[in-house]
Amino acid sequence: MSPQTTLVHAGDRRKLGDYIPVSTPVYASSSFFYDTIEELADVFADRRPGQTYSRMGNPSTAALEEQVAVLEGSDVAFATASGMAAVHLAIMAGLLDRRQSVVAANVLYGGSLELLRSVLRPSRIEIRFCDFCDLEAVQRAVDEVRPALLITETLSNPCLRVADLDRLSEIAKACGALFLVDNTFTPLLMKPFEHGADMVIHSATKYLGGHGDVLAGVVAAPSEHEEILRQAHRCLGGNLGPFEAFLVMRGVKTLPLRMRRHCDNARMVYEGLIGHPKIERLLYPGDPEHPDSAAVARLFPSGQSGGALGIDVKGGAEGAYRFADSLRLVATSASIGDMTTLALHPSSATHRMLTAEARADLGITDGLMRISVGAEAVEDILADLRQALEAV
Amino acid sequence: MKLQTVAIHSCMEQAGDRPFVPSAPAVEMAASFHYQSARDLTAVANGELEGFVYQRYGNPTAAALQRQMAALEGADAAVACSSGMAAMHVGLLTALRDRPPSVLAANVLFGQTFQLLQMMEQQEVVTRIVDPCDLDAVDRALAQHETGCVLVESISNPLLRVPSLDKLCEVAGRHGVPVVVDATFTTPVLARPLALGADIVVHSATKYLAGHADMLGGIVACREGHSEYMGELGRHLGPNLGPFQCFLTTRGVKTLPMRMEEHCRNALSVARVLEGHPAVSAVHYPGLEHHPDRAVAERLFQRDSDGQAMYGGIVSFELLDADRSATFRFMNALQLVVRTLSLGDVHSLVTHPATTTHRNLGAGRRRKLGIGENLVRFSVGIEAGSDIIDDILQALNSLS
Repeated sequence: MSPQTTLVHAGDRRKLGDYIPVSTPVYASSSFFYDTIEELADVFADRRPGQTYSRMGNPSTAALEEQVAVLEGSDVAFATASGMAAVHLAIMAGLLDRRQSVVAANVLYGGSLELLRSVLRPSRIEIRFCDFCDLEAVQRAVDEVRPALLITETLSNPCLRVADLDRLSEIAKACGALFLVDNTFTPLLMKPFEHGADMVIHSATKYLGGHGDVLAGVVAAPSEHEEILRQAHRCLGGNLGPFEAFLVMRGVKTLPLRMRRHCDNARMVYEGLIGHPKIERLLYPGDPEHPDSAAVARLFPSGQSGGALGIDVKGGAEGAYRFADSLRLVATSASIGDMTTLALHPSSATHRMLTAEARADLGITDGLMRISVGAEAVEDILADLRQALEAV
Repeated sequence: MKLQTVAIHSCMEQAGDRPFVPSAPAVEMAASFHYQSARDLTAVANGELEGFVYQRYGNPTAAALQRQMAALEGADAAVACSSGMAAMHVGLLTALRDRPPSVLAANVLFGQTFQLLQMMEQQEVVTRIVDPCDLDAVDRALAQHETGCVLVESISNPLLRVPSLDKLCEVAGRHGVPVVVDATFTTPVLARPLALGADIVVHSATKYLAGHADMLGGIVACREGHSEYMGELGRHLGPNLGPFQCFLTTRGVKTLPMRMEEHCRNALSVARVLEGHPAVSAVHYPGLEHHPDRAVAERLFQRDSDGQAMYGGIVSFELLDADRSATFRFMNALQLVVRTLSLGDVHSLVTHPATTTHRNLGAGRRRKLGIGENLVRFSVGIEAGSDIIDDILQALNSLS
């Protein structure tokens, strides 16, 4: 055989011996090989388990999906290219063969709001937004729209409101709608399936990956929704790459340690900033005066209220900018859930597409800074925040 | 500049203020980019300042690939997606923006594309089917029905018909309807659909573009006027391609012109050998004299660097009097050629469309389209042509 031939094939497609890699390798392969074509056809027809083509499934992403299913206590999970691809997948799967209508929380992540408003609504899907902390308003919207699904976040972004998942799921179930919950801000802390969720969504870019080095998303679900998710996932093609799956899986192994540290740090930062003269108001779900304190007490583990914090800096936008630009350790960034503490000015970044009026309605004031408290030593975080507040 | 040069150079960074540029795009893993000034972050997010904010919105490695593909396609912009299907979805939604919700689709397409169209019916997007090689039929369909866009493959999967893209685009243009072309089988080496009048071109980058069976990805590129919404869809739907995969694709594209020429040369040799073989009842390859679209392919497709005509790297053929089990026997007898899905890899591979890529169409629809149990889709690799042919011949001979 010519070297032009042998060099294309040599070393590839060797069966593993009787050993198993301790960590799941990055299966950088688009497609899979069997000794006979019958075996491939059987896998394709679901007559035996196996892999065929990486859009349909890949061993690296399958490993991550199994891990996240364990994390959320679900039967199955589907890994996606981003958190938005996960939101999109869950919604499109939830709409299959159902009424094309959605009732959504009005304080969803800006990207989700944009997806619903500027892509799905023009695609003839009815979208109704309402305040999910106002259960009567939700009930009215559901009665009017008879939606196929309701979608909310466990902890709203950036105002950190906490909706009553159990009551919302009752409302959804009573009208035959699916209840989709984005658990990005509160993995491990909140178990949405225990409160009636039908699908749980993560931007795995955030706490699950945890290191600011990978974009990924996941939808977890019980097996009754497996088929619609699989069908939609294959058509939409928002699959996650194996390199990314490997990195997220690696991150999830330290999630319990990191999450505890994020929560402890956030609580201590909150306590350390109470009554600070340069702060108009502090938003923190563990605040006993928090408007949803009853829901927080019931849904969150004691003392663990997530790693996010809102600091409404005095002096409006000018104050917020001055504060942000004076930070030295803390970085200004559009993400959350990293090991590093991150700050963001929602009214000019994630929620800049909203009108000033719409922002005011949601409580997104011009001085509000969203802080994703990192895993550094809390003294260093507090020292940086305090010196930056001095500049206001 | 020649395509071969563009393929090698277009993913490189400009030096800018630095006295150096890296010899390959960096795999930039950052999920987000940290700013000293909150105002700068806002300015970048608003597009007033150049930069990156968050990987889904844009990332240096994806930008390198997008630059490379836009240059090769002569496109205004390109978006890298997590798969060819994601690129197809973004491409269709881009074309349908502010248009009637209906697609005039080619009668033969990749099976999953039909399933995507079926899924879009949930949002009242109507799909009508037409033979894209019958331009009168296309014209009639466009005259009869309000149509949002036309969707065709540059070479159809798996039966390898070649629509007359330039004329088809002209017909669609007369009706003011944009055309989306899945050019996975041709790549910019054979044809540049935008230059032929299409509005949007879609690739499964998994195939020839990356070329090494080691990643999944897609590319959607468009002419002016669609770029902004296409980019928005990429950001909102979130099927972004990871930086590793972007890097692997840029790396693959550098050898694309060389590989494509070899794929085409080998495929023509394979098709000719199959054509004369008594165990083969039909060979579908646009480069064969009897192929109905041979003249169209010769007119539309670029010639290779030796001046030879190129007709693509895929050959489909039917085994004489073979049922599924005889067809499988042939496939199992192949020793060099890989039995799998996908196509466009450096190695030769065979696929059985009826049980895999076109399985979900159902037997009736498959029969109507001519996708029988004895049909084999052969993606001819870049090995030495004689070694590929030897393997096919020994497998065919094992049938008797």
